[in-house]
Amino acid sequence: MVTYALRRLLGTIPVLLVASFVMFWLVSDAADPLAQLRQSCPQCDESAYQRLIDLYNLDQSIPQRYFNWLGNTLTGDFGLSTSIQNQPVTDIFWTRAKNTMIISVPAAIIVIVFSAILSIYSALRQYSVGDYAVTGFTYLGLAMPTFFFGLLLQVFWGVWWQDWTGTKPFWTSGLHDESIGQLISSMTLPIVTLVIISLAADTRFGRASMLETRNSDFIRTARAKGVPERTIVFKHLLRAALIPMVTVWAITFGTLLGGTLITETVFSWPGLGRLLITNGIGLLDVNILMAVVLFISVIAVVFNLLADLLYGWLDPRVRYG
Amino acid sequence: MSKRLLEVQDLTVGFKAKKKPVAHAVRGMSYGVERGETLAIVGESGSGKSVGALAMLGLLGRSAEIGGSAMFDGVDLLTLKQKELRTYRGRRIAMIFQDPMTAFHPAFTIGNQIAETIIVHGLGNKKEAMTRAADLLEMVGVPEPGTRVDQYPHEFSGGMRQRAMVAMAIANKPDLLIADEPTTALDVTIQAQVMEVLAEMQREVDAAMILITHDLGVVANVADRVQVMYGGRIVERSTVKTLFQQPRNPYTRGLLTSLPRLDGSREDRLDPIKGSPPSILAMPKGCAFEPRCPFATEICKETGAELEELWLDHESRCHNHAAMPEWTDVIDTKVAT
Amino acid sequence: MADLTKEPPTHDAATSSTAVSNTPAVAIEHLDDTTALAEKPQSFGQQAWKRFVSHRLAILGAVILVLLVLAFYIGPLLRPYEFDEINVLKRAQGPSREHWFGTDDIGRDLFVRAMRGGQFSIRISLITALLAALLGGFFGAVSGYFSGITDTAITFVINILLSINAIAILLILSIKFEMTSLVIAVLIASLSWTRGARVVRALVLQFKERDFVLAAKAAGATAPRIILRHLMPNILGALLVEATLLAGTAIILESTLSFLGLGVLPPETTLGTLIADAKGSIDTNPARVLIPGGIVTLIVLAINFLGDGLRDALDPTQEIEA
Repeated sequence: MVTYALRRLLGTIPVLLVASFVMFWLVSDAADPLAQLRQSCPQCDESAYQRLIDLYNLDQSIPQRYFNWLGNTLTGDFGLSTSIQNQPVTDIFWTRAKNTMIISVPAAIIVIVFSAILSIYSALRQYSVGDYAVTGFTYLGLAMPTFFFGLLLQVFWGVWWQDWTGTKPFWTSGLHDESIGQLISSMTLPIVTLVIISLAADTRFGRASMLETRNSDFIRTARAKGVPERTIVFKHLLRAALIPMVTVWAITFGTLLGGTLITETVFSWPGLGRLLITNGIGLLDVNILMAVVLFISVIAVVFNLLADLLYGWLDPRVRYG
Repeated sequence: MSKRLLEVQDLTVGFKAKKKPVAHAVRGMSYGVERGETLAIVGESGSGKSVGALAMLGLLGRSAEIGGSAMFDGVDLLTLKQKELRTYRGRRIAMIFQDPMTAFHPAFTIGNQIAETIIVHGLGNKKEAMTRAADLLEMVGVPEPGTRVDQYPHEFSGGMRQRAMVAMAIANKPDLLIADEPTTALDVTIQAQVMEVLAEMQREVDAAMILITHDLGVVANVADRVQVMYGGRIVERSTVKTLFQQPRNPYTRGLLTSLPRLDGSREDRLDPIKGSPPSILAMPKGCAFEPRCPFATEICKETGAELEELWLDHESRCHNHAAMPEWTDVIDTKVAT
Repeated sequence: MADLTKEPPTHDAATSSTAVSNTPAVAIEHLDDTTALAEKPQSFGQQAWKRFVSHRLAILGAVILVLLVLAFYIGPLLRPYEFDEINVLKRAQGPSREHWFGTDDIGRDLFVRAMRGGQFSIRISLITALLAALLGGFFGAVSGYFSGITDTAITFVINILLSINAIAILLILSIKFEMTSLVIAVLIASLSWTRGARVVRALVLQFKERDFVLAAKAAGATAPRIILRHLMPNILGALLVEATLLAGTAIILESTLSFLGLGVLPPETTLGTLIADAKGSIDTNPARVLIPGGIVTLIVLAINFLGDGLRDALDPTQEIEA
């Protein structure tokens, strides 16, 4: 099992290398710090341009720059930011990463727990009103763009609720950490936004998985043995349906960690996603962009691998393959 | 005890799905089984043979509509609620299913699953049940039972899995075993072995057995009595010997004739019954076999016959059973050509 | 006069709802006389159509889509305003009889703009779904059929694409390329074909060893012929379902791009840009955000219903438990 994991892990390296190179090339090609300097500082003289060239190795070809970047990154140095006054990206990165985790990790946990509960409920109470409600919810959740849902929350809590009750229990934008209470109040709406779409998708899958498993032969055998219904559901059914669901959850976790871009933009949350969009892409800051993109790629790859490993661990049939 | 262990009266099973007419799987089945005897139920797919057994144990699901009665040791199983049925399942009546690969849970060990049937009926704690599971595996001829007990279903071969299934079924010494096509999913070479184990275990726990199969060969070797089903009804019932030597129903004869014969020549063509069985969604009002029957007459289109007792221990459902030629003559003609 | 109070004859045993009763079998025997022995067999297409049509949500989805498409293309014709017609005097108005959805900050009629945005979404979704289906079908089939190096290479590429965040790439690419509906469709398709490819690959692997393929091979059929003629008909159903769902995802992706300001250039408009434009006045006129967003949600919802219906039609499961 361990050798299998290691082998898979090694297999992810070429993928990450190619992916990061492609991203690097695209951004470096699109970005032109010299032109930016020309625009922002028409009075700057040759030495300013030269400094820029030295700082960012602009005289080198893109592949060369890539290898430089790669070498530095592997030692933990993410380079200097071109958009934030030559600040080291590493510091900026970790501060922002922490902020992203504040909303993405709780969101992922909530999605996993609730999709499990809703899936089990739906499978046990098929055709009930509750089941239809859950199904309706999953349809709606999958049809609504994340940013729209975020905006809806902002309208509701920031405009309507305030008009009706005069209070504003949740911050509709920004991270406010003056106190724990303020922090929670500003975390809430972003977390809810992150949760909804993934919850809809995972519940849909989980419900289908449960229903399908419920018709399996081995469930019938268990019943024929006289096993009580409760045990059938929570031991036999769950254990079997869990196999595909756990892999979906692992991937969801990865997706949520790396997929906060939109939510952070809508709620002006100072996390990695927002950093990517405003600085990485908006200001074409190569080093920031690469750092964040690499992070997202690594997360995606790691959690995909985790999903595979979990699958192998839970399903004995695969374990020895 | 003159009363039979299991007495089924007028069992009917229909399935209702949305926007479809009722599917009549079983249309009035009555039979009984004595302690210690083996009754074979023979029929093609769709004849209703499995459904009847599943109905008795309440394993059919919500879309099934069941009528009639099934008296097991004085209690009508069809009137029991799920909770009450559970005390019978795996304890007094045990089932052996067709496909052992899908019938076992893939993520629990074989030992765990066998032990479970002992534990849920309060007949042992975890430790005792696991020991017993290993003993049972040994009884059914699984080599190295001590190690095997901790293995997963996919690590067993097909024949061994089915043996394990037999072990699981007899674990609590049931009064009645229902084996639903126990050898169909197995290689021919393994089939005989598994049947032997099954018969041996049946004797071991002194259980009655209902053997559901479409394989007449298996019937000849193992069963005491046999009933043939077609279109959801029993069309012939007798002792095994009589059925093979003096079949008195067109369908039964069709089945027997369609089997290749050891004493036939290689140029013989196979002789299947022409046509196909009726759809359970639309059963004809007359005899279900009429369109394919070489002995059919006008009355067969109008009404189906009743199950009539021809002589001791031999019943047939046919208007024209008397008009059929002697079976021995039929065989001779066949062999001669 | 017809006796309308007389109920059609029911068969009590057959229509009783729960399991256990002691009704004699005789009641069931005298039922429909239709002899079903010579039923005309229905083709797969006919069966699929029947199943689809009985799927209420799918029909609802189809109807909604038809209505929306009609609204998008015919709606603007009903109003006297162009989508880019500026009229500063009438700016930032709420819904009225003149301007059904109100006007934006430079006086453009929002209804016409929303309809135009809807047209864009429909176009995008169709092109993207088609492209992604073609790409996914091709690569999935090739990867699954030929295995070996080809398979490894294609899977490698798929893994790379999966590890890249779609939005990030799209945003970067949007800097370089001008965003017409075709360009956006191509870009989105080139990132989303992976799901379809995986599905097709899995199916091809499954069918590859089946007898009908081996028979074709033994008869000397070439690989393209086997793939197209023998494997594809079995896979088309699943691919169609994937494509439908992809159409919905494409709309969401595109509207997200536009919302972030990196979609089409003004004055061209999409539902996403409308929402972005409306964000500023969200406090005073929330409807300006809700309407285009609601339209997007409705389109995708309808597409998803349709996709579910297709899935059920092409891959049915038994309703009767036996």
